[in-house]
Amino acid sequence: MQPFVDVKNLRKLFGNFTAVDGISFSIGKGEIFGILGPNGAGKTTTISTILGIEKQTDGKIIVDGLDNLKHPKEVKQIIGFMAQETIVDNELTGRQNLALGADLYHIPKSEIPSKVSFALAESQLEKFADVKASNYSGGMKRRLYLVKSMLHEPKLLILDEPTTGLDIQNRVQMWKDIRKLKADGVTIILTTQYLEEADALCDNIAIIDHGKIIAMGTPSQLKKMIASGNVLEIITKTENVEQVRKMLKSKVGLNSTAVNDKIEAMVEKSPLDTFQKILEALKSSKVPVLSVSLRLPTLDDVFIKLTGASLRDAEQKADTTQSNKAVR
Amino acid sequence: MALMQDSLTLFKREMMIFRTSLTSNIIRSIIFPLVMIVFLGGIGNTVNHIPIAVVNYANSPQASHFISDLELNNVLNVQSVTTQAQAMQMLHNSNVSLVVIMLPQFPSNAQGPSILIYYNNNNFENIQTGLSFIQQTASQFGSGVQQQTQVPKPGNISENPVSGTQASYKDFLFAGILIMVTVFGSIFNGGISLIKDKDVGTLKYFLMSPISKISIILGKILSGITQSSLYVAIAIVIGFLDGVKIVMGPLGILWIFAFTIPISVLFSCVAIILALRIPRIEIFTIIMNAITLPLWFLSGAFFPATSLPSIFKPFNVYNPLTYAVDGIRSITMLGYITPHAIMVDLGVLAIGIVVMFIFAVKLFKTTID
Repeated sequence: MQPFVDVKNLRKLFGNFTAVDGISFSIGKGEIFGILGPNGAGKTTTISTILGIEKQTDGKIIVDGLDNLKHPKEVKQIIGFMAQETIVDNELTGRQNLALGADLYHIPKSEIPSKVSFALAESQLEKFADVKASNYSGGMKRRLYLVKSMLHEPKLLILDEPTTGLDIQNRVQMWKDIRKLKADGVTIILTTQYLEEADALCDNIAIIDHGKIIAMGTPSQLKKMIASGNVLEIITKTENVEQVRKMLKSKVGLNSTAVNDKIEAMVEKSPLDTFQKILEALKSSKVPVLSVSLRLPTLDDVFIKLTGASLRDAEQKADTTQSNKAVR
Repeated sequence: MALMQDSLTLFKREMMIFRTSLTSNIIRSIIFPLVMIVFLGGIGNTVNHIPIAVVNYANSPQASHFISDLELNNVLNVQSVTTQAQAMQMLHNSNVSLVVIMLPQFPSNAQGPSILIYYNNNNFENIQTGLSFIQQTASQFGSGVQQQTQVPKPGNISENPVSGTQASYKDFLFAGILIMVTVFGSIFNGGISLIKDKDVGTLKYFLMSPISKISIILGKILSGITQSSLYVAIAIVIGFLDGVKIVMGPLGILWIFAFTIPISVLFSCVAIILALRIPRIEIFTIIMNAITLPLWFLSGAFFPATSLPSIFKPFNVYNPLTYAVDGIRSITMLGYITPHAIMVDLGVLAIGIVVMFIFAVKLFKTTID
């Protein structure tokens, strides 16, 4: 089957700076594709080229069989986008914001009123439809923005850090909305800095750093990349930590690490048998245990391992200061 | 056509935003012309030492007497000149505001006037004060000194405006105010709203929607025209209330818009060009003021450009505002506009618009793409 989005050797240069350096990936219809990477890795540039805000220096982008350079308007018509920041006109009411969006996407005049009222209902903003958006709360604006992005019923929705800065209730709601869209057959590209979010939502994930894809696959494939095993986690009382660690070493031969009251160890072989042995040992030793768990490595582990633990923001800042000095 | 439709959509959006703060926009647009026309425009009323040139072809004792009477009370600053050509040159160079020619027949002339007065109303001196003083002196002179000679009655003085009718500084300033209202209106609309759009992300939203980039520029220009035209209309009303004359009459108002609209388009383009490069409203405002205020100052909006030091003359010639001010002044002060003036004034503006529009579109594509 032909992929819905096909990106081949995408490159984007800003002057001498290579923001995106030969990225290729394809996304099947109705899939949620996650793009992860540290700040400045090239996520936003990749998205901007697919959106048609930036023109690629080299490479091909095909969306639904359409080349983005040959059919820019047609491609734009089938893409919806939700940026990190909430893009609504604060001076206008919710209804006016939606009507403007409908006009820009050339929705036929006769359909606009019904689409707008449907969108208002969907976002639970009917009561506030004729109130200026500047009076909305952050969550209300975000909901207005989401329905505005979906007004022209895009087949591909690009979400740039959709839940950054949202409270838990709104985040959970947003996850529900995203899953609902997927169920409706919308293909979704998602960037996020919350790895558990990518883990929970994405079918496939690409990790980008320095403008290149350094790893790609399903969340579980990625996790397997760094370690073939499971993580054992035991939480006990702080005074019993040493006792438990000794027991793990002697009974099942595991080397462990401890932080405060949490003990972690890598279980490489036959995890279930080992887990059973550990449980029995703990039972017989009568050590007070609050929790015992066996889990796969998280994306956090993968991410840190692949991209390093240094802060990119700090690096970037240092770079800019350097170049500013050079200019002076 | 899709381009036109998209431009209108964006125009509609700008106007909706404009409407939400209509009151403050209108109040802001009232303050500037009100202060300028009412306050600054009133200055010409108490002018003393109006410079005049007197050409004495009579060479009689009465003539000398008349000249020394003109120098009374410090109303006029009299310079004696030998030839009429010389005096007219001074008038054209704005060295004097009035030229008084005393004909050989002075003080009496059976066939016609014995004194000719020329003046140039593109100078902002209060000509009326000078004229009435000369008339008064002439009649006093006639009645007091030489009873039997024909007194040079007011009817015997021929007044020949070289250009303009009887106008005040207020009338002179009016054209400059209208142009500045237009320029400010366009800049505020085009530039500041674009920087806001960049900041909030609305511009990104426009760019990823299936519309042409040119329609974004056209939308801004259309709203610039509408808003600045509203401000010009308000300024015209303020001018009327304060007694500014438009010699051409009601048709002149339409002609005024024929000059303010091109200026609005031109400065919307300039504002868009700068706003694309400048990230912050504060910096944009400073730079825009640094560009427009000198342009305004050197356009002859405040004083006749002929009195500019020669070093600044090029800035007057290569200045779009000069042509707009000149065009509007022909309408409001002369009452007519020659085809030549239309061609030069509107032609220069048209060229400016084409150049700036192309530049704006190009920059829009390279900066945003």
